[in-house]
Amino acid sequence: MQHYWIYLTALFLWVFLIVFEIKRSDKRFLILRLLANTAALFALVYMLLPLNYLSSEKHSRTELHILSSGAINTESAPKRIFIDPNLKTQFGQNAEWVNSLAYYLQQNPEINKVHIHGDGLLPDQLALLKGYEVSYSPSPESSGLQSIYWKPKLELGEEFTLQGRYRNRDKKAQLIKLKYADKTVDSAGIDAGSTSIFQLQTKAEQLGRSQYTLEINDKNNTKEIIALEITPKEKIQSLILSGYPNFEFKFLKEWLYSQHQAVAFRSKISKEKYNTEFLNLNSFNLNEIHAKSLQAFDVLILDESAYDLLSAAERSAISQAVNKGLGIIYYPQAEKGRDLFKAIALRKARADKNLGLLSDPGSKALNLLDIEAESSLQLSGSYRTLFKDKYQQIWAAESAVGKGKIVSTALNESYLWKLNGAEESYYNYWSSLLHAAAAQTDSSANWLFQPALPLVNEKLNLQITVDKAGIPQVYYKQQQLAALQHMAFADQWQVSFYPQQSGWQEVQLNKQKAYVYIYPQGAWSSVKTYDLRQLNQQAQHQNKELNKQASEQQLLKSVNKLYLFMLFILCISFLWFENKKAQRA
Amino acid sequence: MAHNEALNKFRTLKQNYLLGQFLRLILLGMALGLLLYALVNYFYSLQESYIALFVLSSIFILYAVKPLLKLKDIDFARYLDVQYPELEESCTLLLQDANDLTLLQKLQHKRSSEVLESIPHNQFHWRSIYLAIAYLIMALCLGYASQQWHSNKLHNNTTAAPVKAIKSSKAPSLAQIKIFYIDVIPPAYTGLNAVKLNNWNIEIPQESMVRWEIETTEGLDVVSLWINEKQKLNFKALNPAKTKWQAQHSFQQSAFYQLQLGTKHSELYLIEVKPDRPVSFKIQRPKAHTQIDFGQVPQVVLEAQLEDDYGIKDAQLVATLASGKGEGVSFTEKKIALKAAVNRQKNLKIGQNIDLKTLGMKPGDELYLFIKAIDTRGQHSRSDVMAISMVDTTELMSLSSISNGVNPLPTAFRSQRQIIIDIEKLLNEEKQISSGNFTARSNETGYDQRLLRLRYGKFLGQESADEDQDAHGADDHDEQAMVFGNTDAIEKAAGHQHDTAEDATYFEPQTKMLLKAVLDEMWNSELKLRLAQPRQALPYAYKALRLLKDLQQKDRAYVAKTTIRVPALDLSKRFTGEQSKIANPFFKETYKSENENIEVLRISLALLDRYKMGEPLESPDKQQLRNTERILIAQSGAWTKSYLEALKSLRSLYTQKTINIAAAEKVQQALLNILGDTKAAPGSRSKLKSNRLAELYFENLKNRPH
Repeated sequence: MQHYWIYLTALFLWVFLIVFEIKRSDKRFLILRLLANTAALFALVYMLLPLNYLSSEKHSRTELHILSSGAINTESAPKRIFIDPNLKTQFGQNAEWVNSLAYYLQQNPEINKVHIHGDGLLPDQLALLKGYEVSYSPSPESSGLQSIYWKPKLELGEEFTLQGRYRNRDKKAQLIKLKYADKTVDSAGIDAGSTSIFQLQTKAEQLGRSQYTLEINDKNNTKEIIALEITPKEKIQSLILSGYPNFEFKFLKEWLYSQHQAVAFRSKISKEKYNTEFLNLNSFNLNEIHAKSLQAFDVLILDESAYDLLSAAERSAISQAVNKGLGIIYYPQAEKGRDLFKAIALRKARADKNLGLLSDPGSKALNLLDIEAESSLQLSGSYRTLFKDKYQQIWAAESAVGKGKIVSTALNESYLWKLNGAEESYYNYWSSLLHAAAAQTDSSANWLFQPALPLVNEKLNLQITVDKAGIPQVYYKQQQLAALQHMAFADQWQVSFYPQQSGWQEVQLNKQKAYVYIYPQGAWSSVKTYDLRQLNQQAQHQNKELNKQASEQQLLKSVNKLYLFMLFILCISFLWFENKKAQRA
Repeated sequence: MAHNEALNKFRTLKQNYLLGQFLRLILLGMALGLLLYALVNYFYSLQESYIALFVLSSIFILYAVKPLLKLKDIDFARYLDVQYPELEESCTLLLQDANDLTLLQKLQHKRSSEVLESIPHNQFHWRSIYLAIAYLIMALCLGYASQQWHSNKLHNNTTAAPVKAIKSSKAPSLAQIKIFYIDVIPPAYTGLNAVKLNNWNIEIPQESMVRWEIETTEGLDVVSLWINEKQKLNFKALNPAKTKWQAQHSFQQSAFYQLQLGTKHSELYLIEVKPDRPVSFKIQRPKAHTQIDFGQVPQVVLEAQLEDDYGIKDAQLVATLASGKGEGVSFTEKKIALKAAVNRQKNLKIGQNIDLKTLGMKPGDELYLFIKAIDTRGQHSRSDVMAISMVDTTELMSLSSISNGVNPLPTAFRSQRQIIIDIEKLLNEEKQISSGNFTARSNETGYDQRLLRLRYGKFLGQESADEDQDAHGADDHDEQAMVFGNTDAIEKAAGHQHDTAEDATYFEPQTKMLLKAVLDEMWNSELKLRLAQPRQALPYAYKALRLLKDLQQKDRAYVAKTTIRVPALDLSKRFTGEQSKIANPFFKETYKSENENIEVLRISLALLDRYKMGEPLESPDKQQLRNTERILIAQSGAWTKSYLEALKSLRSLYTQKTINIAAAEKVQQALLNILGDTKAAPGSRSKLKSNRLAELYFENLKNRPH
């Protein structure tokens, strides 16, 4: 109703005109004059505003058939085109090759239905079909990979997991092999005639940009490259506060020391007397803990007895540091939490002779511990379980406080793993606790390449999140690329380019280097084809909805302004003519 | 005419016979030749072409023994006579001139001719030929078998041979080298002779001196040899033309080496050093713990086998005797010479009786035996210790163990001691009492033994078995009467019980086993006593007593007392709370990094990955690979021949223009081998540090009114 003032003015004018017409002494043609006034005003208003009406007329349907690779040429269809020039030999004889779909559609406005055959159209081609009724008949699916996923960037020591789905239409089972340096590191079987999800795992030993190969001995002899970058682990600086000497901290300290991690250790001997140790670390005064001394550390490890011995100032320094991002690994010892750790307490545990821990995401079992643990964790508020047992009792959990993390654990005899020779379990347990607690280190930009499996000469988008104001300087092969800022988020930018070479390609952003692996033409073809089919299927569903609506609703049409103008002139001229005549008379 | 015909027939027969014999001779000659070849081949390896020589010479020898061509008609005629009695010893007549024959002879001649005529042409020799063929087949089989044995022997030899060329990898030498020899002079301890080899890759015993002799096609200024890329060894020119060179070096450890002729480098060669292991022991007898019971001969048989790579220089048996008890234990060490002569042999078998009495071993003592050996290189080694203990019977009789400790058994069981006293008393009085009395007393003691056994049997739930038998005689009828109509008994007889009485005791399985052993000994003791053989019963009785003692002491554990020395307390400082003189203990240390190497290897792995994908090796990459090579070589001791391949492949990567994926993979596999499994290690996660938007959001979240 933004045009209400026009209507108001028109109404005012109409009343004014009508009153004057009625008041006129000469009463001839009164009805006609009233009508002419009304009609003129109506025409005037709708010359200013659009006058819409619904039309129920229906168009006749003209169907266009677009053939893509993998299509079976349907002879019966009348209007057949194909876009990919590589298909000329296949369809050249009984279908027309079209260089540009957009141009063709413009030229043939009568087309309102499009039928896609084969693997489907590319996303930008599909975008042109907005407003058309789209139907899609895919070519029969063959054996092959349907999807694949892996984390392209790993930290050293992190498990490398590759997941995917394979459709096996053959009569024999297929073996999917993950290979490195010509040696199979993991494999998975796919039963004959089934589509199943597989997962391959290994631990990467290399450091830097590297690749594995995925081999499937099927009809196509699939051999794909799995490119990934392995980065060294960031070191953690930890501070251990111990209330009394115990084996748990002694073993932990020694392990961290042997792992080249920086460790400071403080245990109280007597009043204001401390035993301090600095391993892989420069020494400084640790007799009193304050905000500045805590800044040097990523993780603070302490038990409740050590917390008891701290002064009030030290406690508040710790709680401030946690809010700013310090990680804490805490051993509660009472059934009631307090201060910073008020959400963390112990409760009586249902215990077996041996304690078997499972890591929470993934349920990976650690070796059994030869202890009958009495109490497990009791947590309130929001938390994430790190380790639990088969009774779903929590043994280690992580909760967020400010920017920092508090990891609590009820297991204070984890060193038994080391004593029993189950070092792997000890390492896994502690590295996940430390990883959960450790303050996050900085890296000044985030990168995201799209698509995940970029091909040579195909458009590659790079999404960047930067911390600095100003336009990011992005270079590819010594050429600067233009960055496009996100409409809403000032720190997000997008860069698009076409990589011209396959292999590892270097992209520079503000003098930082990032690498992306560009796959050669034809790589991951079955995955790409599967994606394309999904996309075309979606397009079919979307455009079908659209067209259904269009055929049921009648079209909204607006009246040509010229007609209104003529009506206006006619009415005005009648009134003017009649007025002249009346005056003469 | 008839005469001539007969003669012709005779000749044909002789020819056939000779032909057959020749065939047989050749076959036998072949068989013999093969056999001889097989025999000789087993000891000295020969080429296959020698077979012909052996066969020909055997045929010749056989012919010399039996010169067939010299066979006279008359001899053949005699042979025919023997073979065919129907010729009536008159075949020789056929050879004589018909005119010279008497009438009777003529008649006989005619008959013989007819008989001869009836003999088929080729009748006789087939059998001998079959036999010869059989011999040949046998010889062939034997020859094949000997070849197998020989190759086995060769195979064994090659693994055992201390100095040899590594055949699997015959390495090519540089083009400039005309002739080369490698002399390996094994050290004295091996007792081996020097060996001349013609292969660059060799395997040698530790401390061997290796001497290279090279003749080059042209005069060179400098010839040198790099060992492990670090040590340089210069060759000495042996002639003024500087074409003959020599160098030598002694090797303690396996190494790679490389020749440098002028500016040219050869490829890498391998010297694998086999270390000399110390003497190893295999002891068959005695067991790790042996107990000599009362009545047993105080003797131990030692049976052992000693082995060494090159020879055993000396071996001794060392016996340590522990006598006394409690705090008065004394140890005496004695060395016992071995009866077997030790004379640098590789294998030494020891079979020896050790008389414990002569070693001064008394009941209650323990003897610890072990073998000490020195090999020719002077490496000492010793075997596991065998403990031999002699049971002290007097200790068993002492009552001291009753007075202390926990006794899990009722007092009644201590009468095994009483039974032994009874037996000994009986034996002492044997000469004074009549044989009837002796037998009766022995029987009586046997009865006591039985009672005791039954009492122990109760602990194992055996009472029913034994006492039932006793009860049967007297209460047979009663029992039957009782059984009649007793459903429980029927059920018991027909059904099966889930828990047996034997298992339903309070004892641990081990205790039960010991108890069973006690019962066994008691059975035997009783048997001998009932047979009036108390002397034989005594060892069993003692053993039963010893086992009982063991049972009593089963639950005890001994913890040694330890002494601590505490500095004297300064009493004046006590309870003052004075801490000013206590310093804060402080400790600082940085871990010595070995991991840098590992890091280099990891980076190289990824570098090779990229190289395989077609990225060219830039000069920093090559430097990286050179560092890797250094580490690979430094991994000495752990490496094997496969590392040589990896090293060679790694080197080929610098020089080759085209990408060699196979070589890169070989290197990667070696690197993976060195790296092993990555262990989980602590690390922090990385995330965007100061995302302004997130920061603002977080601040607002914190300041939100609650």
